[in-house]
Amino acid sequence: MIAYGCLAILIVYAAVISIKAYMQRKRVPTSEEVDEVLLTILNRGRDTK
Amino acid sequence: MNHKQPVQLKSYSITRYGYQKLRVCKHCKNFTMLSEDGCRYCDKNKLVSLDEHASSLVRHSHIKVLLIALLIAVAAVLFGDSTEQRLICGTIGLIVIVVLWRVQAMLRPQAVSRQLLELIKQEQQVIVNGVFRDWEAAIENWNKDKPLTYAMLREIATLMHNDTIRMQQLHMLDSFILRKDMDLELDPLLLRHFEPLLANYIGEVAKLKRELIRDRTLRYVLRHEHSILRLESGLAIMTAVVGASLRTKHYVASYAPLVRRYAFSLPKDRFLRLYRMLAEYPDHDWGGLQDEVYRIYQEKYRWDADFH
Ligand SMILES: [Zn+2]
Repeated sequence: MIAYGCLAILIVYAAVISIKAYMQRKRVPTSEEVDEVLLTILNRGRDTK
Repeated sequence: MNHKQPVQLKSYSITRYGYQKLRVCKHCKNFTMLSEDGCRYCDKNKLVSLDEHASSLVRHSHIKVLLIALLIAVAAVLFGDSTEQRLICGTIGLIVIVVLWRVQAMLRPQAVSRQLLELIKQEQQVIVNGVFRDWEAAIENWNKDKPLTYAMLREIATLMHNDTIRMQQLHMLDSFILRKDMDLELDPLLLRHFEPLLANYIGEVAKLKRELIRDRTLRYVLRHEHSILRLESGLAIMTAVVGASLRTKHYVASYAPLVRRYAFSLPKDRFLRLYRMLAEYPDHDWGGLQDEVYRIYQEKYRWDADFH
């Protein structure tokens, strides 16, 4: 029975990982957003344009 | 004028996104914007782009997940009471791992993009430190190698937007004899306040690379016209900028009063261009520019064959 228990854990684990990845696929930052975040970090509190 | 040196400027590579200018050392995890081969901090040749780094982080995390899944599958097989049970566990385990692997592969590009943003957010202090160290490294060459200093400052200024770094670049540019074939820029160097170094640079660029004179520069010279005119070469700067703006109808129409004020000082070829542009669009409302151009034509070029 322990074998099936392990199998169940494996399936749940794979399902959780897959669903999490699938749910996150829509929240993908664009390169423009990445740039924006980086520029904000580097120009914080300075005499930026 | 005699303090200017003839120099060879390194060409500047344009990346589609600013973050692509940044690289990280895989060994010591420090960041740099300067295009050196080896890492300045650990001397190892392990600098990679952020895209590459994010991609390898995702690969590692995916491998970790697959290994955990494999471990559970192996445990299931080992705990099997019979051969049949082991066979079932082995087969199903394998199928689950393959499915998981396919799902990971399918969603990999999205995972890499998320990882990239995550990396920047997590490492922000290290990134800031790295770029400031780059800036210091550029300034260390100030007296030794001005073209190199300029090239380094220009790279850093892609991501660092402040008037200090713009002024430092203008100081470097002021010490060079500028040429047409140089890879120059103007918009990123525009300051908010009036600065003679910038005004002189604008004047030079207007003569060498007219295409760099765009709306932002025209607004700058318009805003600081009086201060520019107080400079020794003020009139020449204004005239060169106006001459450069005659490339398209858009600029002439948008800055007609400015063009009108300097039309008289334009060299013949530029004035001819303006004259022809106005003749091409006689019905357009140029707001008094036409009268001034006609007056100059009457005064200076009435007998000139090029105008007929
Ligand atoms: Zn390193």
